[in-house]
Amino acid sequence: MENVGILGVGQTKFVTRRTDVSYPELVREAVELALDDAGLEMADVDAITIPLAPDALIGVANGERWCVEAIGATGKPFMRINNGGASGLAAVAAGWTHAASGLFDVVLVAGADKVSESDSAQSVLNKMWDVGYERPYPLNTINMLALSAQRYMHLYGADERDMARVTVKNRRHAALNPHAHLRTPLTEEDVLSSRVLSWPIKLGDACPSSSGAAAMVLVSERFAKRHGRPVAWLRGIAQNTETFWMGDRVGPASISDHADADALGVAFERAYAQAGITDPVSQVDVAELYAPFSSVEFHVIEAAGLCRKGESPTRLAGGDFALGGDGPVVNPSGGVLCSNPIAVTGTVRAIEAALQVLGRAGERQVDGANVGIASAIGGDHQFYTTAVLANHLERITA
Amino acid sequence: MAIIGTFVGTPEVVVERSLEELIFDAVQRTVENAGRTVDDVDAVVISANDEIDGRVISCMVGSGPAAGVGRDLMMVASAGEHALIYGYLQLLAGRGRNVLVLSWSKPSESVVPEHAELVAAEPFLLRPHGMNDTIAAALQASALIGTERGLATDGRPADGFSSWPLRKADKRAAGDAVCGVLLAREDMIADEVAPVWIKGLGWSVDRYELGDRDVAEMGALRSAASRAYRMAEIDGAPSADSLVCMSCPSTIAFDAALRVLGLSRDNARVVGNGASGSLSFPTWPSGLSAMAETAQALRRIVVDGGRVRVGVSASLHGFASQGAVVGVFGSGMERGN
Repeated sequence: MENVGILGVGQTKFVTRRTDVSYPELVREAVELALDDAGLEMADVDAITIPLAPDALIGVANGERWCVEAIGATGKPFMRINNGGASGLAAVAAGWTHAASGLFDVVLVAGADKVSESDSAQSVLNKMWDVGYERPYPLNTINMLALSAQRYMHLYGADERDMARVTVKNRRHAALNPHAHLRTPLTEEDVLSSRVLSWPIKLGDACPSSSGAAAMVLVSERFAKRHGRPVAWLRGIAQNTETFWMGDRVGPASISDHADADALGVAFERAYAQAGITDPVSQVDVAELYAPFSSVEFHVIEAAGLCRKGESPTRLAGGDFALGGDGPVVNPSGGVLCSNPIAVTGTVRAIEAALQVLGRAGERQVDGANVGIASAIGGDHQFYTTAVLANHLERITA
Repeated sequence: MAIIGTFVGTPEVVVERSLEELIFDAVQRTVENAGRTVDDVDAVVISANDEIDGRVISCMVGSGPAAGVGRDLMMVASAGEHALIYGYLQLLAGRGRNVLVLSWSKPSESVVPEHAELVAAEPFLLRPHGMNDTIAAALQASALIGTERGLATDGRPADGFSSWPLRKADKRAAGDAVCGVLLAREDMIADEVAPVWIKGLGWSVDRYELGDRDVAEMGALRSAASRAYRMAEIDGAPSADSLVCMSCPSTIAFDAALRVLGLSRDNARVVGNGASGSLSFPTWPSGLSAMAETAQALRRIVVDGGRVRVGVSASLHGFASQGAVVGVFGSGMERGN
């Protein structure tokens, strides 16, 4: 297996709407940024993976085919990944697989989302549920995770103010990130007084619908050595899958608990095993974790092994996981709570983690970051992708 | 790396069974065909089309019956045949020993399946013209007919065209079907299994805009074939007695594709859904089915005591064959890449 690293990254500013460019033009913006960052040209790229899901959001089925000219894919191996909201990081995993196979030296991962192309993203997402059993309830992406939050509060004693603290932290971080969609700092009272979407989730606890693009250039170790520029190495990358059915996550016959993210925990264990991480609390410096609602950040922090189950609200209240605090910093970019261009949200997690370990994250830089982790979640909290990044290929130590 | 198990479902309109049930059955049949169980599967790669299946994210409901729960599951959504490529790359990258590959479509879930085709066109230029897979295939066929490439209409009647020069029988069928393949690393192949070695895989893509390319040129197929042949160490064209199974948007494109591959109906042994000149497998999983049927034909030859053969599969997808995949497979004791 060939070692694989991130040589260049690019991301646009994430906004509510982009009417000045088509979808392929938007993807191209990020491609040009990433190639420029890598010091490469389109002709240098051997293969391309593109995340896109669901394509109903941009209104073009198999919209990836529309992008071929715009991203220089003509005549090249080209593949689209659709693991729901995890697609952005799953496409990075697919790019890693291309390069790690030994068949390709330079793989471009590029995509975009224009969530605003659909009149209502929720009306699209509501149709991901099973037609016969769960769609009629009706489940949607918000009340599904409101149920999870309620269960978490019941098991571990968290409350709405704990959730508000997550938003306050991430907005403070996003104010330092020029790419973030929502950058205005909020107070806990701002969040608590915002409109209830599905209790306990309020508008202030929810991610925005974002449009924008992201891309990265992955290279094999042999290419990186020839090229000579610093590389963020993908030391571990893994996936795991949870049951689709909500009914299998609640009640006495459940096979998992909807409060927790145990399947994500397994995905992290797999990536950690590949990277040689045995104690994430001491070995991980920075984490870019997929959490589209404030309540989700609780259990993803715990699934990543950065604290014990049920402990994250207290730790957050004490100032942990924030820039300037002790231990690993979680979502210094502001995270998904502040930008959610669905198809590339996971790609952005990897980009931000790469920038951190390369010391290039600007005002949101975590001091001394050498090892970062990233995660993404797709479907109904069903598809999990995780990654470990480092600025070296040596053994990862505390 | 080798194919050790296959299942190609019978395409038909299935109203009494759900997509999940079809997938579950296909998984069982695929692993049984390899003499394995689901417990032997390390990772799953699936491919489906949300619009055809009537789901926003088709892999959500499909991942459970596809044996994905608790496993690394990837949905490759650009073409059914890309799923096999990804499974192969995973094995090369050291991610598992057995990878299950599945592709499906269930257009009967849609009220009007043809409407799904319409949204495949970008909204500015092609969609206002009503561009869909049928019209794009017809444009390609018309470009191929009567050119110096020597393909002719064969006295086709003036009536019965679905989009000139294509008749209904010239197009790939719509229907509900699931196709499965089990891939294995060489050291995981038991003696009793008749493996079909993956000797070469090539995939490529051409421009999306039809006005920017010569659709009769089949550029993606040429590029994919070149890559696959190079990997398989085939110089020029496969041997004349090679098996070939293809998934093409029309019978006219089928003959043209054979030529691009360096083969013809006279010297190659056409197997699978292309044998009769009609294309009976549904669009989305047809590329994976072509690979599976190639493997099945090679395995039959081994079981019957025949000599080693090479099988070539090719599949075309997207408007006027925008994308292409070519696979070169080998049977017998000679091991592959």
